[in-house]
Amino acid sequence: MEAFSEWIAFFFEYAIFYYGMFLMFSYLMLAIFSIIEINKYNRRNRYINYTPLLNSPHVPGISVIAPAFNEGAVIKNGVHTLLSLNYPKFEVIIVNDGSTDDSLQQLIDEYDLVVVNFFYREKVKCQPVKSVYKSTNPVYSKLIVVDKENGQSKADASNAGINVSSYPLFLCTDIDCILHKDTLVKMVKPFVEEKTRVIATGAVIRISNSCEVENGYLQKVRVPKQYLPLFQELEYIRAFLLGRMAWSKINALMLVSGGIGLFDKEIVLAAGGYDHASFGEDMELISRMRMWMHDNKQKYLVTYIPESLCYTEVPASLNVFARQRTRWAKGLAQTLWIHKKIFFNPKYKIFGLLTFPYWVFFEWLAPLIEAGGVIYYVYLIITGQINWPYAIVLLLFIYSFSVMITLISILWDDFAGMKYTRKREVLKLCLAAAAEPFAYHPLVLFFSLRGNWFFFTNKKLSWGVMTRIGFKNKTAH
Amino acid sequence: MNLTALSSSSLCASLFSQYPDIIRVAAFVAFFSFILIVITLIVIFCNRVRKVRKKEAIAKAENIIFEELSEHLLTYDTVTDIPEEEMNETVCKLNKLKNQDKVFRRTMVHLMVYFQMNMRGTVANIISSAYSRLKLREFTLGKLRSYFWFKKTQGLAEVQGMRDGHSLPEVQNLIDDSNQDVRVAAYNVLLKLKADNCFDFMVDEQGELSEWHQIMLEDAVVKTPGLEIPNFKIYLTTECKGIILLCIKLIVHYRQYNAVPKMLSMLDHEQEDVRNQIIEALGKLNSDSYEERLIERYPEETIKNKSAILIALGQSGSTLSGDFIMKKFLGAKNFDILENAAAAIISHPGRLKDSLTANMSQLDEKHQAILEHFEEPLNAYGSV
Repeated sequence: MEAFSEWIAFFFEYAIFYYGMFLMFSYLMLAIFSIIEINKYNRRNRYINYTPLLNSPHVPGISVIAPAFNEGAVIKNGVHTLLSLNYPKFEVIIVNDGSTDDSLQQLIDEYDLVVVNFFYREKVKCQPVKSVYKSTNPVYSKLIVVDKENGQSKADASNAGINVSSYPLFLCTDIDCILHKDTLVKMVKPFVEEKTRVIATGAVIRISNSCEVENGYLQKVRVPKQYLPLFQELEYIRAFLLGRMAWSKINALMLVSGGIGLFDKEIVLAAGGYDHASFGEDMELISRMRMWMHDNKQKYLVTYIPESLCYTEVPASLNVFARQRTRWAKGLAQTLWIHKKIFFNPKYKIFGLLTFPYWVFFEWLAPLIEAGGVIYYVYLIITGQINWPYAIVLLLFIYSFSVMITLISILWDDFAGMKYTRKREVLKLCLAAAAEPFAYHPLVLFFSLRGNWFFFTNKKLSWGVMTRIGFKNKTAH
Repeated sequence: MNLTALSSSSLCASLFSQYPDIIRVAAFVAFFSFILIVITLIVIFCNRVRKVRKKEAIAKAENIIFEELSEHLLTYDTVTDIPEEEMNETVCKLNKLKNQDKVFRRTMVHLMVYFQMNMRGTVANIISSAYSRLKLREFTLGKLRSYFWFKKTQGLAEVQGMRDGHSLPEVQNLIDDSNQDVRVAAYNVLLKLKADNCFDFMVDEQGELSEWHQIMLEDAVVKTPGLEIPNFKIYLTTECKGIILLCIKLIVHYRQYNAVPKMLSMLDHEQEDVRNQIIEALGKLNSDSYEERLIERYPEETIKNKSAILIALGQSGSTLSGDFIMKKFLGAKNFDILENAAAAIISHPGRLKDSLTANMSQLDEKHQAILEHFEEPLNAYGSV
């Protein structure tokens, strides 16, 4: 018993300490890679003239796919935003995933839709499509609305969109997302610019909760005013500008967010499309696409651009937030388990030897270890074994590093063209960074553990409904 | 002094040595993080102040330059109408400001390029004259001579914007640059400024041109009025795939039918995408005698190129192509072939679909449904 408790003490006092050190070192490396990539992007694109792309008949066509389930509050404006994107060759596919509200009727009335003779072929699996609508108004000739039976996942609806799409690239987004009008031009650039085949590109997603929005168009970017969205904004900046940019630099990116991602359809189809049973369908798809490219010995890139091109509404209530985070954690565990053969598999090169193990050790395992650490701390306090000066030094060590990394990501955001014009807003973000480890992180940790519990106990988890405030009013919030 | 420093450092060392390693490391990292937090905060806020000040300085500079130009120079009908004294006075004033401040100089170049790109005639001539007299060209040329590739491309954008023919010798030096972005930007300038031998890059370029580069160069060729267009078939013999693809696009754009025999002879090119673009080009040009060669080529091609052949044949109204498409449509086992054959039937000018409609009842459900899909006028946008 004594030996066991000694072992536990050693584990938490030494092994976990060095684990933490390694994690911190990896964050520093990510920060360095990220700023190199942001600088490279800025230099390459500062004097770029996109007019040739906008005028060329030779650009690859893009199908914009936006699944919608009970999105009556935002659907009309959402479609308007998508239809007004700047690009010479694109179509907008709205997939009505068996909505029980009046979403479809709103679209029919607003866009003069009629059912068309559409030869539907199921290239990737999804629930049956009931009908395909197109507009009789030539102004909306780019719009296709697919009405299908509810598949209980975004993946299922996206697959239906892929089946209907006619262009070689597709952009997957959400109907509530507000896209920058140049999203397609900017995101297609890596596809036409790189000599190695690009299979997917992502961009930075920001939070629209407190932004000023009019008729689906973003008027002014504002820092979220509410508690949860404010911290999520910090989390997004850190994840997109620090994490994904850095992974993209070494072509080791494993996740292109479902909110905005441009994909090579041929590879997506070859890899089998989205997995409708997955709760982390975006990460799962990239994993499968990467595996397919390696299995077929083809060179490829998964890239990221440091521009904020997509604004989305995030959960402001604890219930919705809890459901979302639980789903994400379960999705991560699920994806890592499904693709366990990639783990340290040299066949998958950097993906198998670095990215995948990193996700296992530092994304999936970190919350479990952290929870263990918290329990150990509490145990030491209760049994009176704690050395308070040492405990405080260790807490300061973790706290100061996490605040520093968040502040660095705010700075990188500034270099990448920060949208917040007022100093007060940046100050608010910096203060939130200082409060985050106490005020927000415990929630993330708890729901992450919950997600893992759901995964290990195979407990059922539904997608649930994200309650939208919508953009009917001038301000979303 | 040294003794004091020594004793304090040894005191520090003895103080730290009594703690375990992990505590010492943790304390060091925490200390390092706190310093970085302070530095990052200072940089964030200084950066914002700097940005705001720079923005204000640019706005102020823009106002002054714009006022000077519009009040003293742009009011005249031609450059020669401007009294020498007024010209000198304005140039002198702007020159003084330019030499005082870097932001002012950059704004001046930026504003003049903006004017030059958006104006023609008198205004453009006056701006060009002011640009020369203010010796702003020197700064642009300095960028062209820079070590950094992004400075060079910035300089090239300025030369192109100013339509500055005097800088062409410097631009010519960059066509051998090791960075392809710089080389392509230089080709672009040569085309836009209609330099002699501006199409020589089609022979000289050895690197692989990306699609983006091709789009940029195609735009430069097509959008430059008065550019002497060569016969692009002469460049089809190059080893560089990107140049071949660019030439094919330009051949289609300028409808250079005399390139068709050469393109037909290239149908057995080793690269699939080159063959694909040739097939598409032949369809778009729709000249005589390409069908037989495409039909002959069909069995050896990949599915993607077979589909392209069917679409290309659909452009021609001949019985030969019609019969071929029909045969492939009825016997198709692959869906892509079936889909593209159906699209070709509908687009075929020889009323191929009418002959099918008569026998529609003999077709199976799948064939009927796919034909109906392509017949649906609302499906025309984007399909296949």
